[in-house]
Parts: sequence; structure tokens; C-alpha cells
Amino acid sequence: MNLHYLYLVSFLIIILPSFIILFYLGHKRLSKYWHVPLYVGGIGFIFAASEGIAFNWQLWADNEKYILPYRFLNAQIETYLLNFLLFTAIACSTVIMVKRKPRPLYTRRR
Amino acid sequence: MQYLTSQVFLLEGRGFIKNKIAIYFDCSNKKIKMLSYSYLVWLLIFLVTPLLFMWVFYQKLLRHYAHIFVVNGLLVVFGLIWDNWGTAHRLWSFPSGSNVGYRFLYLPIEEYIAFGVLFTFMVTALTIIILSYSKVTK
Repeated sequence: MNLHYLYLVSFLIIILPSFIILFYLGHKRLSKYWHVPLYVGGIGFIFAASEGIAFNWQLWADNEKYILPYRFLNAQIETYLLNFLLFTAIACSTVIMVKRKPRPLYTRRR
Repeated sequence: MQYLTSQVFLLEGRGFIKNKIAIYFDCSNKKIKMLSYSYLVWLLIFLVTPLLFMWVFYQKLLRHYAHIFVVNGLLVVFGLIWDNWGTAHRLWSFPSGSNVGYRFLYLPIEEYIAFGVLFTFMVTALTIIILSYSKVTK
């Protein structure tokens, strides 16, 4: 395997199975509120950029052998994908748990 | 080159710190000064501040779903294991100059506070708030 993909592959191995479990457990609830994890995932991109700008990733001494040679605003491309997927996964888990309750707070009563 | 300089920095890291400022050389041998509290400052700006705002304005709503914060916090344990693995295999590292210097296993204490607690709390709180305003899509 090309070692440049090691960082990317290492987090995909953890995150992708968790997405499969989340969709298996809550696909009905997620199909009604699919836009919420996407909004939160979008904020993950801003978060990744903030890491890049604040730390100038060279200072984190990332090993160039294990990452792809693409950066945007000093953050690696993988960091954007990682943050998007991580934010989306936590948001999916939250949506599933919040909408599990029979009567959540702030819903209109008929 | 960057890797080699970072190795030197890590080996001698604490020795470089003078008056809470770490002196570091990047791949083009350019001298960079960095506060040893820069990770904490970043935490304060990008995690603690939004969390405080959300807590102040949506306290009642967030308290109602307190158990979800605990469950999501437990899920992130897998992320911390991955983070430790990556640091142990030198996929990435945390130079001594950018954090206060206390470590548990391979990670600095700030990483546990950021990734394990504050990060999860912020994303969960954000999702609950967005969810309270969102309508069902058909």
C-alpha cells in the first residue's frame, strides 16, 4: 500500500463501520432529519480550517511519508474529511438519540 | 527535512523553552516562535467560547438531553485509541513547545480535554440546538 494513504485509511477504518452501525440503528429517524448532520458536518470544515490557521500544521510535525501532499489553509486535505465525517457521525448519533424520545422538549402539542 | 527537525525538537523540546516560548525551525530553516500554551488558547477560542454561549442561551434544552452527552463521550473513546495509535507510530506528533507538557500515554492532556470532552460536547450541543429548529423533511 502507498504509505501516503495511511492517515486517510486509518481513520476511515474507524469511522466507516460506525456509520454503518448508525444507519442500521436509526435509518428511519435519519431519513427525516438527514439535513441536520450535514449542517453540522459543514461546520466541521470550518473547524478543520481553524486548526490549520491556528497551528500552521508544520508545527505539529506531521510525518510527510504518511499524508497526502495536499493542503488548504495550512490544514491537510485529510483533516477536512476527518472533521466532516466526525462531526457528521456525532450528529447522526445525537439525532438518533434525541428523536428516540416519545415527546421531546419544544415540540408542539396538538 | 521537516521530520528530522521535528525529531530534534521533540528530543530537546523542553530545553528550547525559554519564558514560555518555544523556538522551532521549520523545513525551510525559518525560525518560528510558539507559545507553550497555544493549544490551550486554541481550545479557549474555538471550543470553550462556543460551548459557553450555547450553555448560556440554551441551558434548559441542553439539560433535558444531558444523557446524550455522556453516550457520545463514550463513543469518542475509540477516537482517542486511534489518536494514541497514530502518535505512537509517528503518523503525527505533538511537539513539546505547543502544549503545557503533561502527557498520558502518548497524548498531551489538552488532546484528551479537547477531543474527549469539549469537542464531543460542542458537536452534540450544536446538533441538539439545530434539531430544535429544524422541520421534518419528507
